[in-house]
Amino acid sequence: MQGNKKLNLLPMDVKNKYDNRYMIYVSSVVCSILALVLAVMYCNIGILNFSIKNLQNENAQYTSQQSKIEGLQKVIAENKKFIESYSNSNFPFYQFMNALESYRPYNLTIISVDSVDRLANEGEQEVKTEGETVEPTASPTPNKKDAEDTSKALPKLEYVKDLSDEKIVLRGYGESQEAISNYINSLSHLPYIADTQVSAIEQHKINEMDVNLFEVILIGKRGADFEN
Amino acid sequence: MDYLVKKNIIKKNKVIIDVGSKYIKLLGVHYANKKITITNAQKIDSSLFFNDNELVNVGELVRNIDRIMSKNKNVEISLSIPTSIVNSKIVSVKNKKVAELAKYIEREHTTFSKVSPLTHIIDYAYLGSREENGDSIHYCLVAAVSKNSVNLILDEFNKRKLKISTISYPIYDLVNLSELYHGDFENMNRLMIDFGVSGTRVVAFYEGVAVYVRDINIGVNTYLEKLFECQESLGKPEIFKLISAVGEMKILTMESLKKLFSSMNKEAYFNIVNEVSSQLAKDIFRIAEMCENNNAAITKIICGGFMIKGFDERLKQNGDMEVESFDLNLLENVSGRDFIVQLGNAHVDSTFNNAIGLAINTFM
Repeated sequence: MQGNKKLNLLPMDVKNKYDNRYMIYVSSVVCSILALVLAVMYCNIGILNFSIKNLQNENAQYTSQQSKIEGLQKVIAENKKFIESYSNSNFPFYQFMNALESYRPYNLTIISVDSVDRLANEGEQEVKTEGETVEPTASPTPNKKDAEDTSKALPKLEYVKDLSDEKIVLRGYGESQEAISNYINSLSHLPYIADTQVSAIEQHKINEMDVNLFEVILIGKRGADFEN
Repeated sequence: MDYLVKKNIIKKNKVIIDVGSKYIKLLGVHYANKKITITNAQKIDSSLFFNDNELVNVGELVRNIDRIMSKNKNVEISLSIPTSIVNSKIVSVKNKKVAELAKYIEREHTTFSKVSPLTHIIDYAYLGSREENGDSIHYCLVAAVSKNSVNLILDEFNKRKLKISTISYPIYDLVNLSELYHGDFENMNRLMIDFGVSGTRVVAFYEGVAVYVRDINIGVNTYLEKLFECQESLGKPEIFKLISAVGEMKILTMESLKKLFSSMNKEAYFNIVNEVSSQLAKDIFRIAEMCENNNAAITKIICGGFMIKGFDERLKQNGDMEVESFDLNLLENVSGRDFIVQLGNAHVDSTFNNAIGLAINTFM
């Protein structure tokens, strides 16, 4: 059967009542679906607003952190600059001391590491101290005067800040000459050491043991001279 | 709402009520997944509510229906009212658009015999169309029922809070039932007959479209009245029992049947039955002949309803047509164009045919 017009002998008002009832059902279903959709959309908008606020807060935090980081980066850059300029213009003393200990064989002992000028000053001081002990019986009054004079006569101790192009005297002893020579060889190959001069290697007895005392003069380099 | 059921969007239960002058047939029907499942079938004797084929005691009729439906009061009801209170005709409309049919029928076909829009509820059903000599002919079934009759029925149903959603009548139910034969392409020209107690309804199909309807005034009551006139000593219930059990079958084997003829002249019985059946068959063949004269030779007759035993044999002997008795219990797969009819636990005999047709109406 084509078409869908069906016969129904119900009065028109009853048919309309049914149709209206179905229309009410359908419209209520449609309305409830719409309301549900709107509610879901409203919830989504709320969630999105909340996340936008969170993102804005995070963004503000990020901006403040960024400005802080920029400030710190500036400080770091300044510090780096300083370190670079320092290491370029000075002898890397810390690295040198580190190398002294790391290259040192187990059977070698370091007695001292000094700059040559310091050693020279120490020598003068020791001489003066010995001179004082020569005349211990002097009267107290002139002693005061003497003390003032002595303080005036004592040479001022000056430490060289930078050891580049300076001589560094390394003293120590080892059980074997081979260990000593290996150690000196290792030090001589350090990039910030310009030259190595062995001053002396002598055999002595320490605690009734035969050891080889040695003294090496190392000449330092500037950082800028060996980097790159 | 039927549209949603048809499109398998919702499931639905319905109660189908076919009000006949002998029995009220009730079907419980469940619509789901494009299947019509008959879940329940019941019959109520309605002869008390009718007088001379006129429905006189509507209140009592509805009370009986209400008693049965007490558990399913919220279920929609499709009601098939007796043909006797409906005026109907099939109209053919040439070369009109389907969309224009409603207005055309309202203008041209709402006043016929004693029918008037003022006093009657008039509606139509589109039956289909076919091509003839380059013309497109549409067929519509126009039916009318008096407002008083319908309102009387509706008032009684409303009093008991029973909801009627559809009112149909047996001829339209037959048209709906024909949907189950949509695939019988060898017999596109056929007659569908509903044998009722008060009358016999015949619908003629040409190329699968219902083109002619006729309500023959001969039914089981005709046999009953004539036999009662002949043998008044035998009560009408006994005669009805005799007609139901014997019909036109002359071979009697059962002792109980032989006993029935102890108070009824066997020869007289068969003479009367033969006379009435001949008249009925003659009317049916006249319809077939008329169809043949209009180049629509009928090849099949499908019978249903309260057909007396042996009448189908009479139709077979006197014509070249195939005769089939429609019985849902005997068919395995009963299907329409896009639905299936299934029997649940219910048992339905051939008198439920109109109710089944009305149940199918939801899927049309």
